[in-house]
Amino acid sequence: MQLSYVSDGPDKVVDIRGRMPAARRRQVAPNGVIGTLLFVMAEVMLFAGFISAHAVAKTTALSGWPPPNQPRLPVEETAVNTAALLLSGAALAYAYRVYLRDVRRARVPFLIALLLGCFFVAFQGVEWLSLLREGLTVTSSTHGAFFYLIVGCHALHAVAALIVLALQYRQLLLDRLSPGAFAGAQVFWFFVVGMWPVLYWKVYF
Amino acid sequence: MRRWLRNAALDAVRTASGLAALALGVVGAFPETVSACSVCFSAKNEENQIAYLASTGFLTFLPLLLVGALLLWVRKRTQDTEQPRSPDHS
Amino acid sequence: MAHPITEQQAPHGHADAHHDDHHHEQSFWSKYVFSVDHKIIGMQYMFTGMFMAIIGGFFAYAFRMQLAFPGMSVPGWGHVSPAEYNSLVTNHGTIMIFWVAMPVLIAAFGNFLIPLMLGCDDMVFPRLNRLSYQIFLLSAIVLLASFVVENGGFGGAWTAYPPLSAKAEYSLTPLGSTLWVIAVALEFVAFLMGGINFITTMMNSRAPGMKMWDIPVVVWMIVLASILFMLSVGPLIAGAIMLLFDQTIGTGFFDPARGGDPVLWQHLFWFFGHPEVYVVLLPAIGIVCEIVPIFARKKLFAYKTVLFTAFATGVLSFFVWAHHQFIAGIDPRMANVFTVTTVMISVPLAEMMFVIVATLYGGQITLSVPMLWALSFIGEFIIGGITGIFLGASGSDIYFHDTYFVLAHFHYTFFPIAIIGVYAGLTHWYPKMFGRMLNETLGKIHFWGTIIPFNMIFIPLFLLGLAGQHRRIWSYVNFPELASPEMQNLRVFATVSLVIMLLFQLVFIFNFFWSLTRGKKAGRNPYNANTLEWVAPSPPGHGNFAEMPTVYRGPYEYSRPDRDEDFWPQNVPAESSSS
Repeated sequence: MQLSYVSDGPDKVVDIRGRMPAARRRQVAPNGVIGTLLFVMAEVMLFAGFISAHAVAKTTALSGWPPPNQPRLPVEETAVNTAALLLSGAALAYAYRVYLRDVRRARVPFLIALLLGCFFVAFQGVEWLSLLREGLTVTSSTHGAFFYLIVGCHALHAVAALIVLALQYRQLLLDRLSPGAFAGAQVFWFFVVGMWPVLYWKVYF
Repeated sequence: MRRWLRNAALDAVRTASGLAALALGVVGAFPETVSACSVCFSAKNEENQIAYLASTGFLTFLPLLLVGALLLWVRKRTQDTEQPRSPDHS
Repeated sequence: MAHPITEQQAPHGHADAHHDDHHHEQSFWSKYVFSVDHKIIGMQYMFTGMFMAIIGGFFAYAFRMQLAFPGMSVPGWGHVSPAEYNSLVTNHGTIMIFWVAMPVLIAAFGNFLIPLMLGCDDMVFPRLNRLSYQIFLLSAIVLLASFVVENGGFGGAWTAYPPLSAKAEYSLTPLGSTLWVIAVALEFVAFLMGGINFITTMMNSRAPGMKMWDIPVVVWMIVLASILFMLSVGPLIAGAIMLLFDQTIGTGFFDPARGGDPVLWQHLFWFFGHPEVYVVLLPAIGIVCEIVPIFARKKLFAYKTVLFTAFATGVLSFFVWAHHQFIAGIDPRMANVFTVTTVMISVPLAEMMFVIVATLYGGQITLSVPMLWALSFIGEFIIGGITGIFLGASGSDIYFHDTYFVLAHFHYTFFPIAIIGVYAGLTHWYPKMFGRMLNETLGKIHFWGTIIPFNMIFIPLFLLGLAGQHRRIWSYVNFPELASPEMQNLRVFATVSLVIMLLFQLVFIFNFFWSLTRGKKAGRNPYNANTLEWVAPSPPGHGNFAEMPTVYRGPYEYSRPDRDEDFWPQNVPAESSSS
């Protein structure tokens, strides 16, 4: 990750927006990046809690896991979806690298990342609808409850992150996106992308 | 502080933490279930017991891992710009 | 979740940025209610916390009266029914931990002190800070609302173990328990935002020249506490969401009849619940570490040792939580390991106590009111710490579990934290907060009127616990072995002591408001202290410092033999004022 505050000698830091000649305060990283990183750490622990609860609940299920009379989770379709999300993360990483050299050339990869993310959420919604139709609901078993709880919680994070990315895409088109904001959003999107394979492995198999 | 004193202190800390780790290993490996303990066998099955142990370990070590990673990252970012200040006190 | 990202574009996003553009007149609303100023937000947290403390104290009074005089109509409350009793003890615990200790120790002192002590003009995310307080206020309102809904407030203890908390047919408070969970979850969100702010501010906004080891201990402690909180709260939020779903949409996460597991909740709860103890403890120790060097006129003994032991406490605090489940039927292998770690965590804490005592040695001690509170913290906390060792050992814990011995133990830890630590900090920084000194005589009356009755409340409860008195019992009349006159006398003694202690708090409230206008004017630096907050005017204006300070040394340079003055502020260059 790059500094968004251009380092001008070891002790002098200038804000990229040129608005404030910041005092000689050394910044470890842009505020937005540190704030997002800390937030992501708390979020990782939230999902760790879900995963542990899921692992324990597996062993106390009344009639096996997954219950025999309940629909199976769509492992293969979701594998495709997982690939889409990972590609989206890679596209955003590429967009950021390009952005640091030439802001305008970052528009296309950024848009690809955004669209792939939207595809992931939409595909998940379609999957949910078919699962609901087949009889897997929140109250049908702890298996179903955990599926909707964990995957739904991840989807909420994905949607929030996509909203932020969409807003930033608008800024990017207007050439007003600051590197610090981009880096912060990138950290959060990497969290959403990186969390998913773990959840996929833990919940679907 | 004289150098040998400092080394002795460090050795003491190392020995103590080594002993503590050893003690943990020993007591962890050889549990005795007390006959008077009426609630020592509540796990529903072997799998459940393992799941609790595993999730305890997972939840306990994950935060340390996260903080460790953050500290390494901060260290990496700061060490090139860190420079000593002219000292006015010890 | 967009806030950490978008806030960066806020106009107040950087220290030093807005010197000239915002010293205009502000309306009452934007200055005191919707302020983004860290000092005002700190005050808001403090006053909300103090208001909640009055409610929590009143609850304690109501249920202690019921225990001392079962069945009597309590003055100011009326007859305490069993359901009300459960709700009172539950919410006393909830309020005192989540709505008093956390907001005052971490949020109020953190907000007020961190930017001042680091020498910057505000937090790095001021609007996130304001949002944090607004969510906190909302959570307090939701909690207060849960007392007045149909069937009353939640009564399943502050630990909220299912199935009691998950099913309305057991708890009998369908609305109360749901509101309780929502309030606690909102409160966590508020502190998560605050914590992110504190940590980022410490990393990025320190005054020029302030290195890692020049940061005052209290700032370190609040930041460490925020890190601990952030890393431990996730699993509990996960559990709270699951509990909320069990209560409202009929899932069975914690229902064994449907394949769930109630012990799972204890697992998730205590993973947060025990680090939480250190989350509130560390800032209190930090406050004591600030006060003692000033009133002993001595450098803090072994500054780095304090920090390293605090780090060790933080690491170990993730290894002790399962000791709350020794009789919940956990794996004996786990019980053994957690016994050892629990006993081990007393080592770094004992070391911090020794460091404070060593700072006193050979110092010129002034027994001012903040110093009295700081010293009493050590004494009282040691009693709490030592009784904890008996409970940390799984063998003895099986017999002490859920007796009043446990209750007295954790009150001997939490009272020093949430009451003594808060009074120490409040009396110490009152001149900085309001620009006037508190009355010392009234302060001393209040101090002794709090400390002596406190011990008279809880020493009898240790004895009752050893005699087998179980917690969470509405009336002991139906337990012949617990209803003997000797035991009842101890209960009455404890209750009378509580009433005396609560009455002495009026002295403080009077002193607080009287001194706001009548107290002696405090100068910039009434204690001749070194840290940067004493460089700012009292009370500091918007933007804190007239001229942003530069730091040249650590925060505890007192009584240096090579200087005329016995203090050496962090911002004074070496050549300009040395002898």
